[in-house]
Amino acid sequence: MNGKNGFPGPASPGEAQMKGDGGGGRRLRSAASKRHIAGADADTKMENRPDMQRAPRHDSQAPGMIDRSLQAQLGRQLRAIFEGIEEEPVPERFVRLLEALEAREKQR
Amino acid sequence: MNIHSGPLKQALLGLIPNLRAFAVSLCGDVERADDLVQETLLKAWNHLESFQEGTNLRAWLFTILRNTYFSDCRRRRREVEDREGKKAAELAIHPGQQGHLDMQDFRRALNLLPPDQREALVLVGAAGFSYEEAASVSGCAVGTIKSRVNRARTKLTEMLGVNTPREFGPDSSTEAIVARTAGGTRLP
Repeated sequence: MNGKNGFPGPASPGEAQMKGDGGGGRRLRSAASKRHIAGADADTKMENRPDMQRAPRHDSQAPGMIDRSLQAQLGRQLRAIFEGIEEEPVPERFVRLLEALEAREKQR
Repeated sequence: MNIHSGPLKQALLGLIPNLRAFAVSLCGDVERADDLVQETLLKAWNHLESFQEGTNLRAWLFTILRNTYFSDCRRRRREVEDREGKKAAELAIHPGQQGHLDMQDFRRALNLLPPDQREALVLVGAAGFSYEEAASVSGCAVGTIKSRVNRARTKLTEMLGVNTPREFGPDSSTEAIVARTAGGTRLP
C-alpha cells in the first residue's frame, strides 16, 4: 500500500520533472478557477480538451492541505467500493463451476 | 500429482471475492464482472500448466482477468465509446446533484476514467498491489503505472469538481474543506 491512507501518492520529483511541468500550488488554483471561464485563453482550452492522454498540468505539484484531504477521501471511497464487493458471499455459480471442473478432472 | 486437486479449488475459491472486487471496479457492472470472473476461472483451470508454482496466484488471476477485460473492450470498442460519450455528457450537465461528493458521483467518475488509468488506480489504491506488481499484472513499465495512477487521481478530482469550493454542499463533512479553500466565502 502506498501513502498513509492507501491512496497512491503523487509522482516522485524525478517523474514530475520528466513531464516538464514545474508549476507550483498557485497553478493548481488558477487552473481550477479558469476552468469555469470558457475560452479564456489557450491554457483553458487545454484544460477542457477531452484528450485523456495529455499529461495533467498539476501532476507534479506537492499537494496542499485541500488536495491531501480530497485524495484521502477519494482513496477511502475507492476502497469502500472494493471492500464492499469483497465482503459479499461467493455467488453460488462459482462454487458450482469449480465443483464441476473438479469432477470433470477426476473422471479423466 | 494432480494439479487440479482440492487445494487448487480451495485457493481459487478463496480468491473469488478479491477477483470480483477487481472486476467490478474495473468494468463498473456486476453482471459483466461476474462473467469476467467466470471466464478467468475457466482459463486459469484450463491453462494451469502455464502457472509457475510458488509464484503469486492472485497476480496471475488478476492478469488473466484484466487481459480478458481489455480484449473484450477492444472487441466492442465502438459500443463502449458511444456509451461513455453519453455518460460523459450526463456528468457534465449534472455534476454532483446532491451538492457534495457522494458515493454515486464517485462511482460514475471512476467508470468514466480511461480503462487503463482505472485499472492502475484500482490495483494500487484498492487491491493493495505494489507499483511493481501492478506493472507486471498490466504488462507495462512501473513508470507507466505511476503516471496512470497520477492521471487517474487528477482526472477524478477534475470530474468531481472538487478543486473548487462552490461544488461542495454545506454539509458538515465538507464544510472544513470549503473554509480552508475559499476562506469561508461561499460563491453564489
